[in-house]
Amino acid sequence: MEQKTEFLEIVAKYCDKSVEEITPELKFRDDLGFSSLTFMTFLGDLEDTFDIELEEEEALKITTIGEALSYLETLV
Amino acid sequence: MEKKLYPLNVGQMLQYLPIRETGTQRCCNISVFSGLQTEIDFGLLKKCIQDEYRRYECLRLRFTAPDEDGYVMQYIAESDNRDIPYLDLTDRSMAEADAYLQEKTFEEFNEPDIPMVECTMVRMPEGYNGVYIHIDHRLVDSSGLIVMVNDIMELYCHYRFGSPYPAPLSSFEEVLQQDLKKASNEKRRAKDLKFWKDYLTEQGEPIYSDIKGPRILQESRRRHGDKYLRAADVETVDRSVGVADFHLEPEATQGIMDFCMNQGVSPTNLILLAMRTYLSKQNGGQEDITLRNFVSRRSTHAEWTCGGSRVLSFPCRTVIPPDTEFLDACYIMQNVQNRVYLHCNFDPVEVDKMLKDLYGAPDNTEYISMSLTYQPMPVRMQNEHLAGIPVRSVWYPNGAATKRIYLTVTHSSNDGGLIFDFHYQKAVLSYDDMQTLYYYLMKIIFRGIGEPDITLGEMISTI
Repeated sequence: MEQKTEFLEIVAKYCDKSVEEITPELKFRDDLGFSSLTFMTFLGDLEDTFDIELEEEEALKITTIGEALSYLETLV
Repeated sequence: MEKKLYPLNVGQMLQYLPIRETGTQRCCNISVFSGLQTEIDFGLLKKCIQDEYRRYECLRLRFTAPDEDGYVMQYIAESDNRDIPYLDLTDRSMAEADAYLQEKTFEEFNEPDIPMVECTMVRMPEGYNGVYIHIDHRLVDSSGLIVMVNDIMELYCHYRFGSPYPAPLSSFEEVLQQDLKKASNEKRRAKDLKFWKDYLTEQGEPIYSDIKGPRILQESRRRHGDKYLRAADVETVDRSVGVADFHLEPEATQGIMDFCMNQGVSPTNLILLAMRTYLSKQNGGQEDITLRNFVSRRSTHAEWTCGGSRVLSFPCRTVIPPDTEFLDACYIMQNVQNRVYLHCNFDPVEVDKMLKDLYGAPDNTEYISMSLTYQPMPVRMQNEHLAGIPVRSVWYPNGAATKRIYLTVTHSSNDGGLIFDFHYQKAVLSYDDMQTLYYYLMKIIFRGIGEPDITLGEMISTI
């Protein structure tokens, strides 16, 4: 639970939504306005915060909040 | 109160190094006029600019004198309550007024511990009124400057028309502290270092390409007596800058933006692909092309409005066979850039040094002839009270072109169309060269978005 909250707080830093408004079906690019640079910076932020190593190819397939959370759960 | 000193972040350091090398701050100046074609209450504008000195922390940055190794530290002055000068240039033509402001661009901020920005209210010919901002690049980059201009306009609308007071801008100091913390994260640094080592070695030494064709590299090979040389000489003596601006109509621009949105390709990568395709065409179909992409590292809310210079640049190398379809090539470009973005907190100066150490290219040679920066954020008068009023934004070059061709692509404040702003070294290139380059970039982009399955080889042989 704590991990999910921390994840959502990171997402909120990058977009115009509050933690409560960020739902699993939201798409990073289309719904939250992430550019390529923003998304990649965000991934780097996840790596540093959760002390994980993302597989670049896997990470680049992520399009929604739910997918990102599921992927994160496999790594932490 | 004792001032708190901080080192420069990597983006600021990138701007500072040319000052250190040339001994003059001029190469680090940015100057811009931004105004509206309407009457302005200059008393009110003065109040807004003074407010901005309070709101936008980065405007109060000062630098210490260099230490024995030539490095400076920075700190934020507690306040800056200076008067704002006023300049009336209405007795001149627009060209004369621009020439006057262009000349002011060369004024230097060379002393330590002094303000590094000067804002002047200007009444320009043809009814344009606004502000001329002359500022050291370490305080803001182009995104930071646009945030500043937009904020001043929002303040003006608040005081003049009663619109809501704009939201606070984020603290430069807090973001700087985060930057410095990130930079000292050893694990992150090790990851980035490994990435850049792999990136620079996996395809061997890059090779130079030029819009003038292979003869530029051949001349350098002759000069250095090395027929295998892959880097070309850089003009270092005469760095005077030429400027060529081209405006793409809003409808055509919309076509580009629609393609990017529908195909999930960023405008940056589309333009980079067009640039590398033209270089390939001019160099006998060369598949291996390296460009330089400048990105403003602003992703979080705080980073967007904290000011400072967050522009970093990295080599963007692609090797694309001629049978690759245009759309696939867009994705190849995008994948390369995405990999780079994940590691773009790394110091670009260190990347260039690694490249030099790896392949030992002679001093003052380069693999890259063209650089790009795409600026998605326009100087936009969002406030309803300013809607429809013509805007004039002029960037005055600081007189020093350190890159052979530097293309800045922005969105026009007036109609949203794209502006292609080429800065080039006049010693080696001409306005006509830029006109031809722009013509082919447009041809490649529109042929590609209209016919995304065309191969690059076909494109090169038929445009």
